[in-house]
Amino acid sequence: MGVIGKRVAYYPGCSLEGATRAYDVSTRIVARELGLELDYLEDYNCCGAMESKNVTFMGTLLLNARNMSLARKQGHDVIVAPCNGCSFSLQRAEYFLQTDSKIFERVNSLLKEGGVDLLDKIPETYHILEWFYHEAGPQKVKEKTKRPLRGLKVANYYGCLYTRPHFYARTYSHAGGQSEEARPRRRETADDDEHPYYMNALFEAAGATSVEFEPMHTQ
Amino acid sequence: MDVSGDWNLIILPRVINDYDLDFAKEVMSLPEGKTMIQCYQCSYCTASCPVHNYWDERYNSRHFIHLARLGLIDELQKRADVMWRCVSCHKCTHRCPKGVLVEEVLKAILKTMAKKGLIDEYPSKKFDKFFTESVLEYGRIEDGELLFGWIEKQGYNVVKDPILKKPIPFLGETPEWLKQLVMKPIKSMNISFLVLNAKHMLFHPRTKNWNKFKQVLRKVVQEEGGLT
Ligand code: SF4
Ligand code: SF4
Repeated sequence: MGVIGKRVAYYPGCSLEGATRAYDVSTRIVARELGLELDYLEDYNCCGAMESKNVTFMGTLLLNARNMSLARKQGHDVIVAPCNGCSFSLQRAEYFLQTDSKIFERVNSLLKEGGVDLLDKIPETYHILEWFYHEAGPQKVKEKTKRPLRGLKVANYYGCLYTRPHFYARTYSHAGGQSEEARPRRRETADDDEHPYYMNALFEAAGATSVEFEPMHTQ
Repeated sequence: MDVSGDWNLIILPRVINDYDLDFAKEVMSLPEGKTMIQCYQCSYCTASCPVHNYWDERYNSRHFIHLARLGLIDELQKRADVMWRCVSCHKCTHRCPKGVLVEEVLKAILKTMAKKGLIDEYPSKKFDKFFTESVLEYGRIEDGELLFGWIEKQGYNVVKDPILKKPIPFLGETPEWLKQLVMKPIKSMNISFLVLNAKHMLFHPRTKNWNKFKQVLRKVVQEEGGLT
């Protein structure tokens, strides 16, 4: 373990600073207790969620490219996002920037026009679960647990975009692509795409019991 | 050959004018629509789709791609009431054996139809625009304003505060589903959390270095014509 990096850029996203504040607070506490460091992305903007991509393709890439550029400015190669929507948006931008050099150039010139630093390198985005699992792991969680969640039954809900689509989340396992080369490489640290288990493992390490929740866990 | 795409339908007589031969080209000229050409009509996407399985069988991603490639616009228009129902779960994209970015392609089809004036503004598009406006203006969204602003847009009579003219939650007319959704959790909510969210509703959180970037964004959005 320990392949992503212990110190990463933290992109909380708009909701975590408002309606889901509790998630932000607990994320920070858990990271600190596990000996990991979240470097808050100063002055970030909205990722565009699932909405703005239906209105503007380039605009949505720009929104995410700006956040990537901020992460580079703070000296990071890795961004971690706790929200499925945010990590999806950043990974989607990563996919288009990486696979299409014309798009990459256009985005960079527009960033410059907008007074934002150029993207010298495209940072990789990880979902926070993947990061916790690989940088700390169940063993560490078990050691650090102060009050085990004994008796708590959890239905682990991963949601739609945690492992999907494999083009963006890089969770390729069985699905296709035109050729072997055209497929995005599966990320070494990626969770199982149809049967994710990282959350189950971490909760069980903290003493909880996970109940059978398939196939609703990724619906 | 079945030209309608409905496997169980009697073949309709068609003339060449029924086919918009440029439509597919236009969809594939969009970066999201490029992969439409790879589809080999296996229907794995449709079989995975929750909207098809649990909402309406007429929502059929494979079929939409088929119709778009043929350029059978009138057939697409007949399905306009369900075409926007995609919930962006990305099961289709994930499972497609040919590497089609299905969800993106479907959005590209809708975008192209909207651009050519072939479809009326559909409900999800209204929300997409409303959301994007907020992002462009402030750089960040605020859940409360988004929710109650949207309710106002739906024709509910919301009460606004006299100074900042922002909707005050639950004072005016509120849809029943929202009351039910909030009533239970609100009792266990911490007061400082409620204060924080109220503050955000009055003073919208903003991205600081935003103005210059906003101009560029607005320009790009205008070029693409997404907000019109
Ligand atoms: S799964 Fe892919 S190849 Fe099969 S019908 Fe859907 S888009 Fe076409
Ligand atoms: S992303 Fe849309 S079209 Fe694809 S499976 Fe989900 S609901 Fe169906």
